[in-house]
Amino acid sequence: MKTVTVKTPLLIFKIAVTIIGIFIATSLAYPLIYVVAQSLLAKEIILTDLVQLLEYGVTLETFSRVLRDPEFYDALKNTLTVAFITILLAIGVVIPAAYGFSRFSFKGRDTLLYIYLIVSQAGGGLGIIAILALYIFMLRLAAYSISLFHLLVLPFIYVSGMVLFQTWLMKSYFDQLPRELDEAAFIDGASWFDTIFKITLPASRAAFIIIALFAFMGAWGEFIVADIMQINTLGRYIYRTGVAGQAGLMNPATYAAASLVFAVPIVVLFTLSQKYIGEAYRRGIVKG
Amino acid sequence: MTRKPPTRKVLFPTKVALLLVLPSLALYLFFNIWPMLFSIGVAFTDATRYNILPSPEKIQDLRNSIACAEYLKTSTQHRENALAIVRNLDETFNIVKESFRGIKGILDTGRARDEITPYALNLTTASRIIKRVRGRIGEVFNCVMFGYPTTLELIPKGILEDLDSLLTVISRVAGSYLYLEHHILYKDVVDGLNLTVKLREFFYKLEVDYEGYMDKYIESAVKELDKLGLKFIGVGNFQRLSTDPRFYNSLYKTLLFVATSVPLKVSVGVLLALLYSTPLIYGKRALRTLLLVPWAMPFLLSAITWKFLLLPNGQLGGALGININVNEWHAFLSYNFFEAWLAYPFIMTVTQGALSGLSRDVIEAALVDGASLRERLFKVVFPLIAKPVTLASILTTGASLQAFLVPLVINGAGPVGEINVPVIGSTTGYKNEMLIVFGYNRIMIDWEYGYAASMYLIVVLIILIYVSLWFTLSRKMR
Repeated sequence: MKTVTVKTPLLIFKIAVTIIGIFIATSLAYPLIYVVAQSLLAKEIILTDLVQLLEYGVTLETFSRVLRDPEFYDALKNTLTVAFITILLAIGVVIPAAYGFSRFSFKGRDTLLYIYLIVSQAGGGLGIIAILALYIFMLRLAAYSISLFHLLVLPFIYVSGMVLFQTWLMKSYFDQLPRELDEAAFIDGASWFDTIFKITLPASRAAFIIIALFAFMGAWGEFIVADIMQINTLGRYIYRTGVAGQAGLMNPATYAAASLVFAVPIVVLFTLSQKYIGEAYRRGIVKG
Repeated sequence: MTRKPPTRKVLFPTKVALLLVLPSLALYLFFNIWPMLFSIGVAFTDATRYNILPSPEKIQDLRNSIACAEYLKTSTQHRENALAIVRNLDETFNIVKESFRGIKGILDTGRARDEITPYALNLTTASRIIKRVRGRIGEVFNCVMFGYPTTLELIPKGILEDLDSLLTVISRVAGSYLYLEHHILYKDVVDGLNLTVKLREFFYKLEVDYEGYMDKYIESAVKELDKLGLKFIGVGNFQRLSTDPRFYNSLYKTLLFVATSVPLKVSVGVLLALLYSTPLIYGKRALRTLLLVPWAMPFLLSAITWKFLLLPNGQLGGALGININVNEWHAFLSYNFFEAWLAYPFIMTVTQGALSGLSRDVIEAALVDGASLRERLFKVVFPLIAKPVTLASILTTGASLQAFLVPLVINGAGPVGEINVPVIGSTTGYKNEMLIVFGYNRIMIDWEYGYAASMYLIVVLIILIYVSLWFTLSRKMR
């Protein structure tokens, strides 16, 4: 009897706190609910109340309009090309470097790693400044008839932006892989080439997956660098027309739908890769 | 960053390590470091769109026309040819002018149109001379023929067009003066008179001071050519920056944004972490996942969503009664909302990580002990999260200091309006241009590369100061 009188108010209190908690969490997730609702709205107006969904009706026409837009496909093609090359380049550049940093001892290694960490944590502004500086430099090169404003240059720019943080992350990852593996192979008489390509790399499959995911998500979601470099990727297309331009205000439902279509691969990969990313962060950052 | 010293023997030769590391370093150096160094140089030049990427054809055009003008000035033969055609022109123009005047007098006083006839005859004669001269100008001042191919004309295009217009007017007046409607004829006569006066003046100058004319032409072409070349202007850009109200406004808005957005996002993140860590809440795991929505959404999707929400006719903008397109502080407030929403998951996750060290037993023991909420917070929770939250706050300060995409996507760092800065002055500009946006707009909108580079040099210094502060602070806390 006594325990019940103690616990009932607590239970009510808990339920009250939970209701508040649900309310707050839903409010903070509201932009997602809003943009989905906006994309389904059967009228091209800016949604001001979810009730308008009942008033004007719900449609999937916006999505089919996006998927039938030829410009959307051109941009998608560019984005896929850029993303694919970015993945290859990132794997080809970051993983060897991280392995090198992890397994070798050479002059300036620690200083370099330290600089990598600091610069990659300093904030996005430096990156933008570097891109704009690169843009000016590329304009200057164009004066000598060397044009770097090309689709295939974009992956290099992206990977150069990722290199510091990812090298650092992967270095920490390789640190966790037992050194004995390499050493045993080496002592058995395998060449360093064989050791790297036949022993170490196959054992670090997760590293490849993480780098590929980061590279893909980075290249897919990026829009401002593509905009500066005038490469019409999907992100740039939506940004130029829907966010910076007036088209978004004219056709809010269509652009909400386009942004959602654009977001799907990232959200899916983000969810699927939670395990890997979580592991990478645990091994890398937490240790840092 | 504690690292085991390399106690084991080195496995591979060092050159292999360098081989592995080199591609990434090369990539980084070429696409990041080198452009930054390059832009330090640009900061001391007057680089704009016109001189950073001059069209080679335009330069060649100007060079050739200068050489051509020099040639025409000095070569006695061509000089004679040129002067020969303009020599009689003054007299001809005088006749034309007098004729038009006469016709105008007749029209003004309303006399019979017949009286125009002698003037019309004069005009016809004069027009024959002008026509011949018009043709000769093409030959005498033809740089292509002298071996200086250029699309530029030594005689301004406007003058040639005026000559053509004058010929048209004369032929109309002289041909149809008897039956043209009064107002059309009158207008033609006045036009002809004005054109004649203008042309006479031009050709008179050319005849009297032929060399002066060519010198002036060369001078303006050289100036034009000069504009197409990058010039070192020392600290000129920095001087301009020091008197630019937009720059001070940018600094002010950025620091203000740091001062408002950092406390906002840190407190929101910490409070959420505390709320969703209490044992008083059911379904914590699901709710925490819901709270990570801002992280899972790509930035572009969040941007378009928040832009729609915050528009004056959007849901949030309408509910709050704010207009981000007109009021700078409404826009500023919106940036704070958006930034806090974007960044709270980071602070929340860090705080949660720290709180997970707090065992349930401790909390329950404190509850059973009857410790007040205040006591529990200050004695148990805060000491535990103080360090990680401080470090996370420092990191997120960097994001606010370098705010770029947030103001850009919400309303392009607008609204545009008068910017008043005490002592410095006032000018028109984007009122919410944060530091990074300022340089971006100078480059992408105004094409003032040198100016933007000099400004970014200062911004990089500011970021370096921030990083070193961050560095010392986090060192101390370790």
